[in-house]
Amino acid sequence: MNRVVDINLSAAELMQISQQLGLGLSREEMLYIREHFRKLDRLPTELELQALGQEWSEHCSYKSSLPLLRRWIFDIPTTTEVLLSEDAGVVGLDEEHVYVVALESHNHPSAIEPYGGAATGIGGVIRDVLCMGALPIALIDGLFFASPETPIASIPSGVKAPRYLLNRVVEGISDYGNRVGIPTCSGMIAFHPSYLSNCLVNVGCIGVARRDEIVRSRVSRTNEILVLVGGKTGRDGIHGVTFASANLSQESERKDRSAVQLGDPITEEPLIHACLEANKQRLIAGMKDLGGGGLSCAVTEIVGAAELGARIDLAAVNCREEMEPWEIWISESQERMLLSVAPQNLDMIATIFRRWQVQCHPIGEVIAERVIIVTYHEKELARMDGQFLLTPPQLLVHRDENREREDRSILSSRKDELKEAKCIPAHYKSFPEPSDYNEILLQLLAAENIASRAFVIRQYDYEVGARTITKPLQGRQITSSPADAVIIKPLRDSYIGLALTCDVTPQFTARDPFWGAAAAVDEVCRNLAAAGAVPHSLADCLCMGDPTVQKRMEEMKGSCRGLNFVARALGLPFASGNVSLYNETDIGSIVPTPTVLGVGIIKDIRTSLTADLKGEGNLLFLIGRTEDELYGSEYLALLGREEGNLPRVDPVQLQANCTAMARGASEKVIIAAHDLSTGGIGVCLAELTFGGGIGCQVDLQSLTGLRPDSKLFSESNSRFIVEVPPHQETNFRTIFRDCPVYFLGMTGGERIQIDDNGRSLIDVTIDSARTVWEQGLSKYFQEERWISAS
Amino acid sequence: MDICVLVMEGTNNEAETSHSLAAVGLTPHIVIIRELIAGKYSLHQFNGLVIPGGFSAGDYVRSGAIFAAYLRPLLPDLRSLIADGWPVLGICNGFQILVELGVLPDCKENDETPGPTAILTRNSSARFECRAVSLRCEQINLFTRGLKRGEIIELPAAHAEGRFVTSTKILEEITTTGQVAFRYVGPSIPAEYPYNPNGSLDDIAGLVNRQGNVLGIMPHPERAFYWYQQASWPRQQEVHHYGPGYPFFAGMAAYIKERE
Repeated sequence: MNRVVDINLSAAELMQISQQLGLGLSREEMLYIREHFRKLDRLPTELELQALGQEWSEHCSYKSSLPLLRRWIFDIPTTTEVLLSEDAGVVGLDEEHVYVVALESHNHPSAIEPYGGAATGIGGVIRDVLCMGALPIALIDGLFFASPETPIASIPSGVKAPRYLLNRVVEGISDYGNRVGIPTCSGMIAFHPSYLSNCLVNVGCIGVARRDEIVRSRVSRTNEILVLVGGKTGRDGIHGVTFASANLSQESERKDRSAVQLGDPITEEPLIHACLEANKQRLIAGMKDLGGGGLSCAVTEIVGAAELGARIDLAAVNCREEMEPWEIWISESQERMLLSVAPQNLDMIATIFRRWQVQCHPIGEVIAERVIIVTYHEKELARMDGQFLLTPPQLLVHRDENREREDRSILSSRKDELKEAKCIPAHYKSFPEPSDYNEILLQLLAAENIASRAFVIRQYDYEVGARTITKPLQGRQITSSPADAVIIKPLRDSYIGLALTCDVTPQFTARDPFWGAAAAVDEVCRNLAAAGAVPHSLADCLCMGDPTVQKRMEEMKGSCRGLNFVARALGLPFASGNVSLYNETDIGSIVPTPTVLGVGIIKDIRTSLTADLKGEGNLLFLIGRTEDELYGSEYLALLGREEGNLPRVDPVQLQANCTAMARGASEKVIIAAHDLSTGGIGVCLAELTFGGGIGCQVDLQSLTGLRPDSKLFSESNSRFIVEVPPHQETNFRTIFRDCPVYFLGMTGGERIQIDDNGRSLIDVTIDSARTVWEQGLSKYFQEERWISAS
Repeated sequence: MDICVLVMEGTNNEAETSHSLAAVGLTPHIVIIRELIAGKYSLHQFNGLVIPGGFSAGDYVRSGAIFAAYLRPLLPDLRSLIADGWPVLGICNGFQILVELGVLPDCKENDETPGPTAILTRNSSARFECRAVSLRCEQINLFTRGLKRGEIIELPAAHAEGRFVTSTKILEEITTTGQVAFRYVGPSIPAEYPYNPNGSLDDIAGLVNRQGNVLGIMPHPERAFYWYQQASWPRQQEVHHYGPGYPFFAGMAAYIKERE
């Protein structure tokens, strides 16, 4: 049942054992384990080795990334009140309340089984928020695929077609999120060829709690009872974390499907009610969700955080099927939580869970000695040092002073680069100016990275809970502009709002991880500001390739530094984060993808801004400097060119622009706003007109020193276009006196008209532009299957 | 003024529904259907019943089918609550459950052999549809007393199975007996997709029984209870407090108050 494994073997033989048992442990780790047990003068059991495999996986231990995270991501100086960063980040909202942020990736499972992978990703991130004692109130997802146009012939064996992945991932999110009753209200979809064999599914969840309701992911004292609640334990998701901590291969489809968990939103929904009710009655001393590594990781970490130990009886676990003890210990079956409960509260807990018909089984207790003892019907299967379990050898390495010095010098050279960039004159272009900008604008609007996401968004219930104040699609009922961020109202009796968004542009990170990551933070901030909110906190999901490849580690370092560069300047903390490595197969790695989730605060939701033009005869202003930054732009992608400057970020300008935007919104000087991102001014203006069906006549003459195509399509950061009623012009100019402001033109009419010094660049009807924008992506979704009414 | 808000696992709109009820002075009680079956509560204790939206039991079989199967043994109690004149409101999944139970449409043939006479089935688009829709108020009853007949309101809709289908005979009966409470409205009649978001027969969005105290509606009044919850508020000049969903609950409260 639980054999003792002889590990007094050679390194090569040890590696065989690691492979046979599916441990995913490296040569060094196996040798380190051999030493440990030699010192103890005994051999490990299979269950002990499995537990080490889980806990020391990249997924659970962050062994490759932790040093980088410590240097660049944690502890950014801030005025935002970050109370805790455990399974989720806990951030102060008002005097009585906090909001909770979690961001997770579910990349490997989604690449193998997109529907189940995406669905269980949602389920898991909801429990990350729930285990802090918070009510989950919003979901945000960032999805990354290869082009849906990818010809089937060029898709390698064992890889699923991007169009299939896209459809099934969206279905998985929709079916789980809608059923569990938490709105999916914000997100992004990006396309890049590098996601062909590794699509990315990043899911975020926001919760809200009273300050006195926060629960720690750790036990409080010895003798507390550890209670497993929620779904039954089964064979699904065995070795999920070790599978997530290695590169996918052609064989993954066949071999690793059992590592993908099964999701059941109808078990999760009452589990949320029961956990929150028990927490309201103060019956829970500590709570942790069962995610990667199952019981093994949850138990080790919940007692480890309090420097205590646990004794667990696996026979007490309610199983769906007959299982080996080690399988019970590491199964990643979904919809389960581990509670630490004082013995006198156990009956009351049982009553609550019975009312909601949710399983609830005491499986062990907290003990003073820092060991994890696992038994099965009285028989001891494991007795492990808790500290040893939580510390893979890689994390014993001491801080490297030289590296830190090197890091600092790189940051300052990037700052110099920024200064130099400001002095670069109009950039040389190797190609003549296009003759027909109308055609280019229409093609850009239909491009997969720009086209409307309405087809996806409307499959998500984005307003269940009745907290969604501005919607992901904004404007009139049928026509809409895309939201930069949505605003939710977390508290019933306060007008305070949270703005939510997530972003990263793979086209930038692929070309320069530093500026790409910096641009991601910039875009998130301007999305929040365009909704009228003040950026308040961030979360990051670093999706990278194989960390054992030098270049990948360099990319990850560059990304971390880029995030730090902007976040530090703006004083924005990363309240929560996640790292997903090994997003690599033998056909290549994904481009570095540091997804950034942003939370903003708006004092009164009734001053939220939306991206649809509101009326005729209003003024349009551009805020922020337009540089000649076309490298990595959608425009050059369309022309098939690689040249010019990548958009850089000036954090000082970003800060000034965002601050003024929030003030302009709260004083109702601005009545519509949209940030400039992919597709530049041309696409931004078009999108502004869609929602309200109100056109614009603008002239770009105030942008000097640039060729018209750079004016129209440069993707420089930190910029917005805003709509201002004429009578507010003076107030507007006062508020924005420290920002670069350019008058563009007026709203009105049914056309999008963009001139440059009187020369017409673009003149198209709103309807023609909107139609190509709406159809750009929807054509890749399942054929519209109209059922005729019988 | 006690209202039963009846739920089971997968019901997920009970919080905002209860909030709307409480905000008009009613007292909502969230009751899990098993507690009703076990006799812990009785429908007779309440002055009204609301079945909120969601995905009861996951709606894997057919929307509302499992919930209705649980509720069927209690149908006599529900019938007597209705006969006594207390309001019953089914929103989205709640409407599906009332149709599955045969409570709506309220047809003559149902008086003799109780059972469903219509169905709310898979949207024509074969997808979940989340969008704001315009509705025309076709009938004044206790829930719509704050509206005018013919008035057009905007409410959010979010469902995968909202297409009302029934026989020509039943359609004729519900039309002549004034049971159509709300229709989807678009520039043309019948309303085209997406104005009619699900392909519903005769643009039907909501039904009321002959007695006028049972309303089933697919869109969600509880999600547009306040002005700033409706999709169109950023385009409106004037700031209000309540939204288009408010009258449904206010009407219910006023009606119950009059009866007491």
